[in-house]
Amino acid sequence: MPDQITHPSPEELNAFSLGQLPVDAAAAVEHHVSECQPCCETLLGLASDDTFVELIQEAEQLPTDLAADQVGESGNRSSIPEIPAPLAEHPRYEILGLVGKGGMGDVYKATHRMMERTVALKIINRELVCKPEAVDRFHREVKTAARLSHANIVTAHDAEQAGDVHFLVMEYVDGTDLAHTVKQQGALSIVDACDYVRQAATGMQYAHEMGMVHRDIKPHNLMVTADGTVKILDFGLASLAPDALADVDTVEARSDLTAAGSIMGTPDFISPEQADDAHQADIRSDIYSLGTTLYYLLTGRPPFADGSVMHKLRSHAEVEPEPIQNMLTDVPEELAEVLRRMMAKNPAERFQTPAEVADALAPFVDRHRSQSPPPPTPLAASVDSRSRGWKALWAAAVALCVSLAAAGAILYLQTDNGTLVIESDDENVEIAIRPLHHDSDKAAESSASWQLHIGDTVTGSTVKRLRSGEYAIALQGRANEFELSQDRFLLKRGGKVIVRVTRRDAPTEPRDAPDRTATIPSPAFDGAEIQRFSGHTDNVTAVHVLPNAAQAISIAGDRTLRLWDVQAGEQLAVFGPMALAPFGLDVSPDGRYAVTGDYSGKIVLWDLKTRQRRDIGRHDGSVYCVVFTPDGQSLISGGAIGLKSTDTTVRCWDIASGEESARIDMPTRVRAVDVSPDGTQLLVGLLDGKIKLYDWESKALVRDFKGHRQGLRSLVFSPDGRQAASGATDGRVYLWDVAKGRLSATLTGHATTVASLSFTPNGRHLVSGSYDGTIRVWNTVSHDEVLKLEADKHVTHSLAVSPNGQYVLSGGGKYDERGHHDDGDYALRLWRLPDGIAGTASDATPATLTEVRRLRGHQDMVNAVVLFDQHRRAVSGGQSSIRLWDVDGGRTIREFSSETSATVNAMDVSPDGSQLATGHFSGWVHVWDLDSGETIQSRQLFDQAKVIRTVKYTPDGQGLLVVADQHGAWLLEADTLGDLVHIDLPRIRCGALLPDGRHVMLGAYSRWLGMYDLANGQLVQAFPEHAGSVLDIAVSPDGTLAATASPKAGVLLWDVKSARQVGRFLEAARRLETVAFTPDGRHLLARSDDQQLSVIAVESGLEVAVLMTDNQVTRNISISASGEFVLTGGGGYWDNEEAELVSTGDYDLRLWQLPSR
Amino acid sequence: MNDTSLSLLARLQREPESETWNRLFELYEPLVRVWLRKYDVQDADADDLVQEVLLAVSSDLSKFNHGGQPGAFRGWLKAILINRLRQFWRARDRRPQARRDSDIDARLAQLENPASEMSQIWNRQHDQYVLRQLLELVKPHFAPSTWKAFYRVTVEGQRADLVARELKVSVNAVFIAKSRVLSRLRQEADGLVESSSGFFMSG
Repeated sequence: MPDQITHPSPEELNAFSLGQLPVDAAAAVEHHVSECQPCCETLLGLASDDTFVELIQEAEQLPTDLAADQVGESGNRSSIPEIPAPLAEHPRYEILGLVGKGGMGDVYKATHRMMERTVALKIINRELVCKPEAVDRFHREVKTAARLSHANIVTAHDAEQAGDVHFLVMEYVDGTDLAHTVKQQGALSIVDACDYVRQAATGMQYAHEMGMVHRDIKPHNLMVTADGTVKILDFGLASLAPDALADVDTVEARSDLTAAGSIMGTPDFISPEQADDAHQADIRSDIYSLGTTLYYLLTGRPPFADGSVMHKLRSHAEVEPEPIQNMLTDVPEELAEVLRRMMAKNPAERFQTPAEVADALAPFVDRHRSQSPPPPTPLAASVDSRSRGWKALWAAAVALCVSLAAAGAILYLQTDNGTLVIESDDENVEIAIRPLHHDSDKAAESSASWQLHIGDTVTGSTVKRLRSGEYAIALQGRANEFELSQDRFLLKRGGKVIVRVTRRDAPTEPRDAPDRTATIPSPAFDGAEIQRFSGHTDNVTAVHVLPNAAQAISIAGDRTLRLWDVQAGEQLAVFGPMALAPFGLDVSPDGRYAVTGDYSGKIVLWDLKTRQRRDIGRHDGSVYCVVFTPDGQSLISGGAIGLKSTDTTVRCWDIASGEESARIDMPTRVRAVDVSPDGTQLLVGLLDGKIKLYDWESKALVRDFKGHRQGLRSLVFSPDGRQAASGATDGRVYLWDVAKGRLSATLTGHATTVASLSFTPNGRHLVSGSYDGTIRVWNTVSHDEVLKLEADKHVTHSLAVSPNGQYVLSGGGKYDERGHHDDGDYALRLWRLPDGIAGTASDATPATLTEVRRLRGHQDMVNAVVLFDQHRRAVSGGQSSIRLWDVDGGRTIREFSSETSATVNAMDVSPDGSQLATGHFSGWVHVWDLDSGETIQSRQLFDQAKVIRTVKYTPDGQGLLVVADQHGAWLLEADTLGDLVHIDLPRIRCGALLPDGRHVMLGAYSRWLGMYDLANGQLVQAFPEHAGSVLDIAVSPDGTLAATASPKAGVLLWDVKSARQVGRFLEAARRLETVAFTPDGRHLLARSDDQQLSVIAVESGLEVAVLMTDNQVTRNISISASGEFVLTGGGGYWDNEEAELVSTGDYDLRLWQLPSR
Repeated sequence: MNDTSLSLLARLQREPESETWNRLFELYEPLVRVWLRKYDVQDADADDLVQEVLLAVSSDLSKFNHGGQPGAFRGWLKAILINRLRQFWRARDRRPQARRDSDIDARLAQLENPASEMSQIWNRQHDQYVLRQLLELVKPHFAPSTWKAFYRVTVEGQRADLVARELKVSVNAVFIAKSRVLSRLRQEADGLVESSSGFFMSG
């Protein structure tokens, strides 16, 4: 037993146990431990592992089979068990739940992801659609049924197929069917029963006029909503019956199918002639079924309730039902007669149309309903709905008049060309109206103006003399007390304009009139709607203003394309109705053609002049988006889920030949496409939010944008092609820097889906239309919301800014909370933009630098360039390669590489032109022989994730300045790379040598700027706190001035000797990263991390030129010794927010001629 | 510190190149292969690429100096791997699935960044794979009972007294076995595995 004194410490024991001790020490402790029991006890108690031991344990758990390292891609998608798989995964519909089961199939409540409306999906039982003919007929019939748009009919939207599942997409009705109601509550009152049947008859009459019979009218198919509206279900579905029955051979199966429910007319409610031969069914058969339905509602049982199906069918043909008076005492004789006529065995003895039934039932409804409102009057036809829409507007206006009577006055000016409504806070206001004529020849007759005194005309006035056209409106006096909501308006035939006269906030304190030319308009501009164009009878899904600004086109769910005269507000032409609702719309650059896509994938070209249509081609799935190329020669379309199959391609079509010229496969469905104004690039927006940029010529992917987290809905290029805007279902609008693929702004304000975006012609503003009932205008530079147009709950699906920049045309529709489109208001709206936003004038185009040569070869981002040997040779380095160039010949002389030479960030050529020094990511410095391409010296200064920002030879070529980002600065001996001086500056960013070669200026992120002595690394001169991080430093050739770049403060100019700031340029929002003096010291070049190079005259501080390096994002520049040329390299940028380097493509070097001054 | 005498890296650097190559291959082939797979290299291409990477290592190995930088070797190996992967994918540029290409570039850039999560994974996996090879390498140098004691306690994490009872040796012997093997592993791993260094200095 050794002495206690010699026991090793617990730490030592632990180190021993873990094998951490050096050999000698370990041997001593081992000797002790081998004999010492207490130390073993201590060791047992320690039992701690270190990282090394953990690694060993992990190492032993490594898979021996390599395949085990692969992450398996198991398809463990969760799905609701009952929902057929193709539906559960349906891209367009999100299933919310099962809401009903029926003979035809189950019914699900679902959300249409794109339209964001609630729909019902009725799955058609497989046996009903097992034959292709049956499928075709189903689709055809539903398409026909989908034309029905009536308050008393559940609207069928479409027939669709997902996998092998066929389903009907229809309006979702939150209500109860009458069979259910009767089962729950027993027979209905006479009033209710007659009301419901009368409503059903009204719906049937409408369908009848559209050439449709139902063939399966029964209580189950009549839904009653909470407000008492009856809606007929399943128009078009009965078509499935005859074949289904014929396909079934045995009698048992036949009666099974019939018993199962609603295939052909249900036996309890079927007419005798339909039971005999389903093909004989006409509208009168429906009337019979409606009669039996009325019988059922009144008595609580069908006329022939007992017996087998065959017995029931025979009874309909041969047996009179028990007279209703026998069962109900209070049934008027007249009603019994109506019922008898409805249920007559011989169709000729029945009411011949549902309208007759409705009329016959009216007395029972009206008489008993005197105290309650009549059932909603259904819209008979689209023409009527239009006039009714206007009536509703009038009614609203009258109501407003009443409510405002105490507060002020309303003046109606009803002219032969439309209505002007002036609402005023005060009666005693005078207003002048003066026509505005743009044509000079009309000016002569336009001298007339009208003075109106509101107090005189509270009850309304008719001024016949107002023609259609644009007018100026102004207050006559009292301008200090009141203001007008607009100073001009456009009066159109059948249109209405509302102008508001509102009291100013402080009426007693006169103040200056607001500046109407200000960019940010006064709130009074809100709601500057000047015109509505009525005509569409369903949601307007796209609008476009033609290049002439005088005409516009629109498409809608009513399956029409309409051409409008914007000035007169008149409909010029209606194209269609088409077989399917068109989707996607564009106008050719010459305004001659429109193009549309649709759910079936068809692309149709419409000649707006000759009104001819031409099919271009089709996708396998639907087409949501289609655009013309700027040259008007091609079309680009995007595919999505369609009737038959999914299509995830973008296709290009040659218009002349109609041939498909190219196809790009997408990972998922396409929601939006746009072509850059110069026609070189193509943006594709996918339904899942991703955005991809393609080169049009090669159809190659340029880059992926990060995109939206969810449902992208709109995507457009800005007029200059530098920006793009995208909108999504979450209400966000993103602005993108196209060259970088970087998000430049998020515009938030919309509460929900942004369905449409349009830039103003000068690109300074972006207009967004949303389902939230507003249209917003954003400044594309400041990213502020500058205007909000209230569309009064009108959902905007699409909008377009007119080419003259003065108007916005919007189209959409309106849904109530339950997703029904409710009020038939599908009018397009024309809005006037305030002067500060309107306008086409672009900024003066910046001077462009002449590109002399392009050096092609780099395949990834170029971080550093040096132009030397006058401008005959250059070196460049980037992520993977270093090249020596023959600039005149435009070719690579040599590539330099070693295993550790990746990612060059800085480089310099020795003053004698023989050597190249490169600085690399993670600390490597290489010196190369320029002639042989061999490395002369290599050294890793550090192994950290730091970038070397500066590598610069001293003027004598003996030293090499190296600055490593956030690490430090070194002066190395150029031959050996040995340390001469090391300056430790933790947040260092950049450095520049003074011409004397003995001093260096160093700048840091910490706003530090200082001058150091290179002999000893001592600080010689501290500069006052820098305004922002110092991103780059340049020293003038004579060493008297220094320029620094700062991300926020622009370029700062310093007097080196006195350390005083003597100038400040370019206080812009750009992130300036590089500054360089021209060799004569008279100009400064400043590079920001975009496409701009600014040339600043040092003396005057003026920005004498802005040079746009086309679409390449530059990373570095080098000026030739002569000052004639500048070489740029790039193809990427550092994303400060994401803290990552982003490649943007185009890695060619460019040589530019600097303007001689 | 007599760390050069026994470390695998030191021996590799001293040995003739042909010998080095075989050892390197044995040591690193599984790791490199796993990482090639991570960067979407198909197995058919991986065979060549593994050889390229390890040939580059072996030819420059004699010149490699870790200069006291912890983990320098695996960083160097990683740089070579990245370089070769870049070349490989660049040679296959102009492929239809260009999307994937940029993705690879981004992922390679990540791996290149020593601070990235990807680099941390590389570091950890590198050490694990090297240690697994080292375990095989040193095992023949110990008596089976010593190895078993070490393995039970260190790798399987069992209590030393229980292991002692099972193997019918003293607890002292179990601790000594653990100490010896771990000490040897650390020496072998020096310069290759980061946490092997940092010897405990008493006093």
